[in-house]
Amino acid sequence: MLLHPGIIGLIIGSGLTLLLLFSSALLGMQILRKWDITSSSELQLSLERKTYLVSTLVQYALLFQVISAFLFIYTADDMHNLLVGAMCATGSLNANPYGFPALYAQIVTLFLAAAWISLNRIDNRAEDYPLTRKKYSLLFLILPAVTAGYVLQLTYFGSIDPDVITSCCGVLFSEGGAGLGSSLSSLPVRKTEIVFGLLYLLVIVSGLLAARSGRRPFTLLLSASSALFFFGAIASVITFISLYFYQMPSHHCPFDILQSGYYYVGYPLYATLFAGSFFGVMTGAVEPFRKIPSLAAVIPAVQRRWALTATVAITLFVILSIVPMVFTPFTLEGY
Amino acid sequence: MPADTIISTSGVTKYFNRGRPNEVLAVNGVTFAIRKGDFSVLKGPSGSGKTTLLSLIGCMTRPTAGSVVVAGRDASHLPERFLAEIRRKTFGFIFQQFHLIPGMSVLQNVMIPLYPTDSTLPDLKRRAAALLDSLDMSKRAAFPVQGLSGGEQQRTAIARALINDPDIILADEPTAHLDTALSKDFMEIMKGFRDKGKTIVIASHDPLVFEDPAVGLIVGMRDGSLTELKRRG
Amino acid sequence: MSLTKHINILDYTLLSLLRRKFRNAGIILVFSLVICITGSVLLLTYAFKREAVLVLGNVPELIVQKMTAGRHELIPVSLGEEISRIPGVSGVEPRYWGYYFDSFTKANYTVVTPGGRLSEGNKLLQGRLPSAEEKGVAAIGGGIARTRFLGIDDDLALFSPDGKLRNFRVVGIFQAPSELLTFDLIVIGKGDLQELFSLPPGIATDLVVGVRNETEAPVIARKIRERIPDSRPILRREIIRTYDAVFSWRSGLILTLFAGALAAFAILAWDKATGLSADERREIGILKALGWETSDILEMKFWEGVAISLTSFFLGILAAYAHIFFFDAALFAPALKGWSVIYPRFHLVPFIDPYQIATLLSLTVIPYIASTIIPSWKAAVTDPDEVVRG
Repeated sequence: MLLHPGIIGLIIGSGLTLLLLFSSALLGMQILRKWDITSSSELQLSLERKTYLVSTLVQYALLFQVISAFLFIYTADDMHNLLVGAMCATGSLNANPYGFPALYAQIVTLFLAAAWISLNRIDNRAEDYPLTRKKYSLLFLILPAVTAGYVLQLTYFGSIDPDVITSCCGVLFSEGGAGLGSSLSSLPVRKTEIVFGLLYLLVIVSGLLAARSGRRPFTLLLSASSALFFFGAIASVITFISLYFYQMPSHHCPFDILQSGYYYVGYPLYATLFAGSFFGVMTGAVEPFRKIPSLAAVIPAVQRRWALTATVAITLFVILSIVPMVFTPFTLEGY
Repeated sequence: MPADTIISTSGVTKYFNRGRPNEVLAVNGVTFAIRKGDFSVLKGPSGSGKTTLLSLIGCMTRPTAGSVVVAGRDASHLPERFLAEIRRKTFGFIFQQFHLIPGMSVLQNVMIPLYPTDSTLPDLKRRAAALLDSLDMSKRAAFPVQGLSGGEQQRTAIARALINDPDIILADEPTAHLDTALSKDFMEIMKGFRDKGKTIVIASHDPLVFEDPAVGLIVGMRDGSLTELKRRG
Repeated sequence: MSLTKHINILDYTLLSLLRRKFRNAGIILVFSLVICITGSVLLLTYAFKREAVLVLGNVPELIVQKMTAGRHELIPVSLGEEISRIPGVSGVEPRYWGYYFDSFTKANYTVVTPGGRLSEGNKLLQGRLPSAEEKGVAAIGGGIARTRFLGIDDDLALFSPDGKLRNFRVVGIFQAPSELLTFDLIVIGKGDLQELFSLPPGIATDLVVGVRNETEAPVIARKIRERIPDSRPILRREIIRTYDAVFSWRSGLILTLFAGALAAFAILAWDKATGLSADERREIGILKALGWETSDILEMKFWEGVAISLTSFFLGILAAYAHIFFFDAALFAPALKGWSVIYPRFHLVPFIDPYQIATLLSLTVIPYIASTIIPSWKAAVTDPDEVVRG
């Protein structure tokens, strides 16, 4: 099943992501072993130059990873024609046990790479590069995620075994054509809507407070609430948000909204959700670095900016999600 | 150390290719200080280490040993990222061969140092045009630099060195490719800047430069070491 | 955080690219060609897949044929009653159709009766469709009209198996979004069709089975097979899957063969980027001496890569689009078309979506960009004092 244009694209595209992150981790190891910011030796100078290579590699890897993640979803979606009972990407991803884990690994890679880049940005603003060790250790966390993503993805496509009719005059029935679950199980609509609303309220309040004051309890609260919101939002997309876009009471697919039939609304939807949750979580995650003297002035400003970004992005996400609920006659009442 | 010191070095040493057969000791334990508003010349034959010393105080390279302090900031251990920032904010450079970028206009060449900053392009263009005007170069602004005469190239290089309104102007053998009249012009322009409060540091072995009465500090170099440190006037 | 700095660097990059017009034009030309070829393969594949979906969209969910000696055989209409008793079946309708080989144009025509789903969604260019009961009239596909120079009210002459010539007055000519669908189509009344093919009464070509719930179709197909062992139920999904897999596999194969060329291009890009000219090295040294930072140079190199790839990407994909949809994939249609070559002329419906773009990016731009990272970095860490030392 590997001779499919999308899969070849993935083998090359995410293969290169893997290669970039692998090289950056190798360089990171060298840097970790011999780094000495106080030295003027040529070795330190060459290590310092390598830090630029590492950050370039990770930045490009993140860019490639974004493209690959979409390509992965698209390819899975394209496969649904080949799989009995699969109506969309959800069905395809359910075709074997590797589909969803592959997707999760890709999302984790995405977040970790973005976190690395943010840390790097902060670190570069202090003359003594205080986060060097933490930064290069984080690379070793990204490595398993990206490797898992690559392996799972290939295993997933490799294990897809479509029942292909050899010519259109032959017929072949897949036994037990019960079909794959083309929908993800959803939660009770009304309760999910309430939880979604409450989580959003929590994000807004903590986000605005953190953006205004940049103080500790608020940044930590924003972190926690954005993380919760991320999962709550995904569950809500599956449970009710996507249904309003599809105008169908039983099509629980988080991927079809990426298609032209729904005006590609999935792109801004997921972009705002991912960006918002990411910056929300990061706001609290950098809290411990405030204690580092050379960063003491840098961090609070960054935190406030991130808190504001998170609040705005998540608000945009919420607006996008409720637009069809408000402006279309479709309703989920009674389902 | 006087309070108005703007550049000071202490035992500054620079090796190239350290630990390899082609190892060179370019600057050897040099200690001196330049005051704000000084018109100073690093004097010495070619190969004496004056250009290396100039790039050390210009934060273009880090010393192997010793320290360089620029405007109160110790630059000897700073990562490259911050050295670049000091270069951009503190220094204006004029190179021996002017080092204009061919294929670009005079105006664009003048704008180069401030591209990686938050000044908008229209703003940058205005500043560059004003500078060119002050150096009688405005009619050449849109001209590609490779068609300029030596004197015009010199003026373009000067304008480029001034676009960031630096406190210190560094020039490496600026008169090497100029005839006597243009060299004198150059010294006049530099004196004008000194009068506006800028600190001038020129590396040169041209008597026309270091014998000029305006020069207040002479730093003599030979074989990487300091041979003369003379304050005049 | 302001964007100004990044815009400035982008501006400088574009200026700097324009200065090296010829060198960059060379890269863009080769890169566009690579993208054009890869893109053509993709666009053609997806156009075919979509064409198939369009065609098969009109195919009923479930068709039952009769098999004799492993071959497709005409089916008694009476079997329909037995099938309609299966729970979940909403109705059974006999279909009458056949192929007619025309020795003048050396092409196969598909002859069908009006009604049902076959004629749905196909716009008539001119005229009307004949009704099932009408005799002596026909609606024909654009391909037949062109090759046999027929217009409305002209006569279409066809031979029946006993050698008799039969004339049909043309009352309609088809126009469809996809010509594959109606190119070779002839629609005539049911009685005419039975006479033209000498079909005995009570016998149809196959039976269309209506299914209440689409997901139930495989179950119903199995039940039909159990009750009428010599029948062959065909599910629409099975056909779509076959088409899909075959087209994907073919284009995958071509892309794999083409991967060598892609690799060669990446090496070329690497080589181009690594062979940093003395001029360029000097320029970077100057920029750094004047206060540019290593990451500014890296950003400049990034924009350079983006500018070159995007330009090539747009040029390449435009060329591919023109190649496939305006010039009918002249270059390699024979390799991909397979059973479609019987058509004297075909036009594909223009179609492009983010999936194809993401695939194309992964196949071309990502390898290119990746191959320029190390050379860019090497250029960016040029020592600023190199220019001073001369």
